[in-house]
Amino acid sequence: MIKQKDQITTAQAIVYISSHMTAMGILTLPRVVTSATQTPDGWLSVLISGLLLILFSMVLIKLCQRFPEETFYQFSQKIIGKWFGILLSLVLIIYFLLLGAFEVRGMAEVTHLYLLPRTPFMATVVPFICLGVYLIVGGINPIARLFDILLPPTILVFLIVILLSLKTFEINNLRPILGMGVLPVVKGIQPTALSLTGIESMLVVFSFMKEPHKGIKAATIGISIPLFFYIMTTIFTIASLGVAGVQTKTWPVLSLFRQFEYTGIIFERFETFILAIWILQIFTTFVTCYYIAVLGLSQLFQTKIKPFIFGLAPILYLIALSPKNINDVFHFGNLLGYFGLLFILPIPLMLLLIAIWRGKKHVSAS
Amino acid sequence: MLQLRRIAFVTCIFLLLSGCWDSRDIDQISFIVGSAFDKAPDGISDNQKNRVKLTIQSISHTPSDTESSNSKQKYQNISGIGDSKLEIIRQFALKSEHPGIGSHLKVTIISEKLLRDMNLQQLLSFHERTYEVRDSCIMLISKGVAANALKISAEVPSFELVGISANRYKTANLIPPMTHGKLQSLMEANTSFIVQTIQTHQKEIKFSGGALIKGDTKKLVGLLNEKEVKGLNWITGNIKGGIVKAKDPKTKGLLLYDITSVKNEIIPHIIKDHISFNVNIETKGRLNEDWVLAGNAFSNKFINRAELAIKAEIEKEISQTLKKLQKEYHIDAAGFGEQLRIHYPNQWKQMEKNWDKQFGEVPIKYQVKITISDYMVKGKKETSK
Repeated sequence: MIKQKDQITTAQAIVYISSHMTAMGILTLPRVVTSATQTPDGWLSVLISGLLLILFSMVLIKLCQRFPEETFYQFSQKIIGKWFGILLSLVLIIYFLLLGAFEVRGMAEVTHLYLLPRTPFMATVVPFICLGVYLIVGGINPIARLFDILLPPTILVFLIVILLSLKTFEINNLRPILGMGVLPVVKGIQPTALSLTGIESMLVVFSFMKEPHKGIKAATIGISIPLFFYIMTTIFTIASLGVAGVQTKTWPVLSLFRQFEYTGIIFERFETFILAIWILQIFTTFVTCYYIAVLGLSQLFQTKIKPFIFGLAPILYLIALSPKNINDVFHFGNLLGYFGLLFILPIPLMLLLIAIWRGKKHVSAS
Repeated sequence: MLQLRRIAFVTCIFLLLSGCWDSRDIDQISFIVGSAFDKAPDGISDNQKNRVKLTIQSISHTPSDTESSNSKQKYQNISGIGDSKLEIIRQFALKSEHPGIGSHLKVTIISEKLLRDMNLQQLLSFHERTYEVRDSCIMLISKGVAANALKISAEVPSFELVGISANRYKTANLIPPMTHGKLQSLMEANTSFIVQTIQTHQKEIKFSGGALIKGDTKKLVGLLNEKEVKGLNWITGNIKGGIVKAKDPKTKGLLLYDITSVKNEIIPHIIKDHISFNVNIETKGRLNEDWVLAGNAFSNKFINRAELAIKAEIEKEISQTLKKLQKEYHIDAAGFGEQLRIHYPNQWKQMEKNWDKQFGEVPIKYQVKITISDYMVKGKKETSK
């Protein structure tokens, strides 16, 4: 099913994971975390949950490494039998479809609010999906190459703009560290789920890796890049808006970049840059979700991939427009976060244990 | 066939590239740069009470015709009356050809009278919610009619106001500009704070003093004069430059101390439910002007004398401010509560609600360390004969 040329290098896998992880969550993370902690310690929660995630990803990679050339859709059937495998695969497909649609909707909401207030949703959502279709028709290689191009400018712009926000940085907003003990930090771990999902894409993408034995390295570095983004964002946002202020903003991170202006240099305002790179990152996440869902369908039904690519586009559009208001969008997101966690820890762990118990392993064709 | 398909494809692309839904020509837009809130006169009927008069200042694109732009005013002021801000703003669509956009709003001025009986947070809730107004817009409080501040003689009054508020490196009597973002965070946290006040007199403006805003009611409770603001700045350490005027005790001559740096530290102590604060201030500066005839700055004796005199002056300023904050208004606008939150987070949780009241009774000690590091170009008035 997978042609020989459809392979990605380890570096590409790293970029893939980080691109997929950096998405919707980053704009709301400081609010979500701080609402749970009620102290300025949110960034510690993010750090801890990131480290936990790296730990969890090892289980997932170990599972994938038993079947280095197969996707989740294929090896799940081998491990727990055909029907359960198909069922689980369908759940994963639905998850990715929903997540993809959610990213599209989030992108549309933010563009509608900050950039194009009078443009209808349709006009931003349809080209977005169409571009996605155009990209994934080419398969995993063009996707990985595009991600390669998009990540460096993202990191550069992000670092520059976040450092510019030092103008409103107030260290007192971050103090005291651990003033109320460790409990708030623990409370903050769980709500970070949505922002930190993304590694579950490895269940499928892993099979494209040229050097599967470097999987753990790829996952660790791939998670660390967005984790660094997330921690920086959380620290700077809380330092600028304060614990009370962060909790009231719909998009606290964008509010952060609207706090300051620099007169005298060519650009005065910087939230546009953040929005631009953020939309690029949303696009990468969306494309990944879309591609994985489509690939899953084609592998389940053992047919060509193209009909699914075109067939799912309108469905994505409908799902994206189904939440009635912004609160529904956020609930949708939270739900997906937990859904994603399911595929990060419990399911891979279960499958790995069963696979070990039943001695299932990939047998190479030779 | 292939040709036809290509043509169709290109046409589709043109459709997509042809423009932007939200585009508006720049000469069709007027940019709102300043806004002022005043109390509107009460009407006859009941629902015409507690209304707000909003004045906005907008600049619009004018073709760069040198002759006409010299004589013409560069800005327009429009005002309207209503209950809610959005309502008034939308009224402007009935009053002017190009209703403005708020994304370039630089300054908001609120009259003291209005803020004495209106909740600031409610007043600004539209500002907070709209995507147009940026959080970097600054707020000022006007002692008289706020709208007058938008009529001062300047090319564009709003820009003038923003410019003045950035002059902190020259004077210690300015409060750091209160941006909308900061304001919102403070109000969300129910912290009391101080905002710069301005005064207009016949098209002339002066930034003088500050307005104290209570954290729980979000209303204005009192004013500080310029000197008291300076005292407050000594406590908070928000000084970038400025002068201290003192008298030489021996010769009664004037001494002017030019501040180059201020470092400060507020240290809270809680010993058995008893709260106290220590404020340590360390400042460095230079002697910039002295009216002491026999003053010989080359001798350390004179410098020491000057240091003592200036130190006493600074302490006087601080004690005056503290008296006003603690005894008269019972309001902590100097960030003592914040230090308590940082150093004693658990105790702070219980005190938070009543802090302003409790603050009035708290003993505060302060220590000023002053160093005159140099005396500019000239050290001596005249060579001794």
